[in-house]
Amino acid sequence: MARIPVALAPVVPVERPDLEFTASSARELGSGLTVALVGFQDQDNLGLRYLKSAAEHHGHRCNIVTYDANEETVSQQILQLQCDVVGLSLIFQYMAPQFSKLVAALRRGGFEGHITIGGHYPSFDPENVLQRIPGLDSVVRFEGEATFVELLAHLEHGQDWKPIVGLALVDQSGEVRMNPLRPSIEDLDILPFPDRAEVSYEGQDLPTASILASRGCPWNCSFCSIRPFYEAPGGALRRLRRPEQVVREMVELHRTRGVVAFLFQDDDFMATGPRGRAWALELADALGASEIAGRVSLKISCRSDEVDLEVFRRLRDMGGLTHVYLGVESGDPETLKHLRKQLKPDAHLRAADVFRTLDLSFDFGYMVLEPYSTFAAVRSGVDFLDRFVGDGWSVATFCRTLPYAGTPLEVQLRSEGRLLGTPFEPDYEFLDPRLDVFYDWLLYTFRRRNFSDEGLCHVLRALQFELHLRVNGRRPATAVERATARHLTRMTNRIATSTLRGALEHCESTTIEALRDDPSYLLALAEFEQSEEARIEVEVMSFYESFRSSIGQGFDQHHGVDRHHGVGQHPRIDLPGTSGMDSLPGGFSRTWTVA
Amino acid sequence: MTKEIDELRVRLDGMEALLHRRFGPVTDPAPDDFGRGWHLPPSWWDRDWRIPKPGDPSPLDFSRFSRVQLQMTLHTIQAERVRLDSMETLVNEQMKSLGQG
Repeated sequence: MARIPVALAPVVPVERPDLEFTASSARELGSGLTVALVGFQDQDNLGLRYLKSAAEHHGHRCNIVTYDANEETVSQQILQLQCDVVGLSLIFQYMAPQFSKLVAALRRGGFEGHITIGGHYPSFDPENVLQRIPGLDSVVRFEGEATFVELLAHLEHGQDWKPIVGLALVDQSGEVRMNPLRPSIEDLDILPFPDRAEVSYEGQDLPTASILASRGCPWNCSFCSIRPFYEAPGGALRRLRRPEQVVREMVELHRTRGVVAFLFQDDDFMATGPRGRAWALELADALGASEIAGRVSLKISCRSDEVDLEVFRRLRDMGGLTHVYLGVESGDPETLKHLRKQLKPDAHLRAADVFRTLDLSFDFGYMVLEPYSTFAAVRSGVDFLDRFVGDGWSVATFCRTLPYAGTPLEVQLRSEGRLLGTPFEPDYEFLDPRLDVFYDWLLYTFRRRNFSDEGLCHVLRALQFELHLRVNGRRPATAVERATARHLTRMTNRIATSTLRGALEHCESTTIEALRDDPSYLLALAEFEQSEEARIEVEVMSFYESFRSSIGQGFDQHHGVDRHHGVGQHPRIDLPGTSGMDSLPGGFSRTWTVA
Repeated sequence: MTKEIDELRVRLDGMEALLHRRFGPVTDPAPDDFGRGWHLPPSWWDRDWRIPKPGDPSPLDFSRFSRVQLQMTLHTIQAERVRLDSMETLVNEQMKSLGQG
């Protein structure tokens, strides 16, 4: 498989410009430019907050503006700030068209300052971003702090900013120009802690903060752009912060903001073998020796083959680990090879056993389809879900692999002439067209369950997370409460895998013409699955609400309840031309009695 | 009675609020597939393929069921089997914990 197109940028050695964050380099806040930093605020958006801290250290006053779907509202907010520079954080590739509208609205509104954009997607594909979003001045590529601070300094002093390393821009001839890349910051601890002033931890039921203890990942999975992102500018593929610095940030957040749950957003918390393990244990021990020992819960992300019983026991006992996000991706051996995971399904099963032994909750990413899928591989992947989480320890979710910009998979599909869609919304077709029908059906059937905030996957994940928390001042869940959650999750998982198998079998045994001509079985199956989910949702919501009430944290009433979408109702999904499917065939779906 | 209704209302409101709160901080959801070009035309979903109901559900007359209806019946039976097996596991777990106590 081809490597990612790092050659898009000139491979020229660059002197690392000094990036000073010492006391002597600090400038008075407000002595520089006024900046608006715009992005989603889910999971704290630490990327923006690191940028804000870095820029404010150098005197530039930064305002974080939350991006939402209404570009006119957002642009009005930005215009009212009367700022000199706007920095956009584009996390999701498919959101580029919306950011384009925002830029257009800003220019229409008379904004004449510099507009720059950063994030994974613009870093990999500055050409399309600059050409398709004409109001942009520049793209800050890859790790942004140093380049952004230097850009602000040049703009402040009226200097020519175009030669700055790490930028892409449109030159006078109208061509996109990509400057040499800027090496990554070697020592992450020189950066000030991310600024979290606007995050309302105090208003949360469970004050939860994201935190980064490292950046990067050395693994080379075909569907992931993390390694290419850090590999392109050179330097270490994973950089670690010093444990004492991480603990200092956590203690500060706990003491001043009341944070009790920390979500480590590290790409892979345990990566880099023995070095990574030793570092993780050092961090756990430092937490165990700190004033927040036993008062906070942690969540980390890692691979299955990095899960070791004794290491994780210490992370739990000393560090407060209660939850792990596992990059499982597939349980089919052939699919794992295509995804270049470099492990076998047994590793996933062993990791899950460790979590059960240590009573840790976990959830995972799972791609039941990828560009080279066969029916046999998909079936094997579905069967694996039953072995892996058929007991309801974790909720089974599933999607397909997407060829994001910068991934080896994107390069591969392009080289094979299979990359479809647009630069912002890449797509592909499966090798067997019946799998396209199966996948269309999967999206149609499981959209609410797998992809919405209201769906069972999301709610059950949150429930399992809460039931395993061990934080100060909060009653731990009882054994029977956890068993009940497993029961609910077990039903959700088993019914979904059974439904998937039904559709798979049907699609495999039917010609593509017949599938297109007669959708009756697949539509009935979709209706059946959604009806079953609705039944489980009622039970889940009732249980979740009673658990929350029992710990004195009922759900508050200020979340904008939409009474048209009540408990257990499946709103119509947004498909072109879909009509209602009113009830299960036979009319006897409710005649069974549940014990 | 009024008290019970009030309590019920609070409980239902709580459940509704739960449905509409964001659970985002816990984990990343699976990515939505915005780039998906649908391979089935809109008319595929729009056709009236609903299965006619066979009439009174009891007594069941499977001779009047179509193949799809029979298939869906099997799915329903399987789902109820899953429910009952799961419930049995839950009850056994609880029995075991009582035995230990």
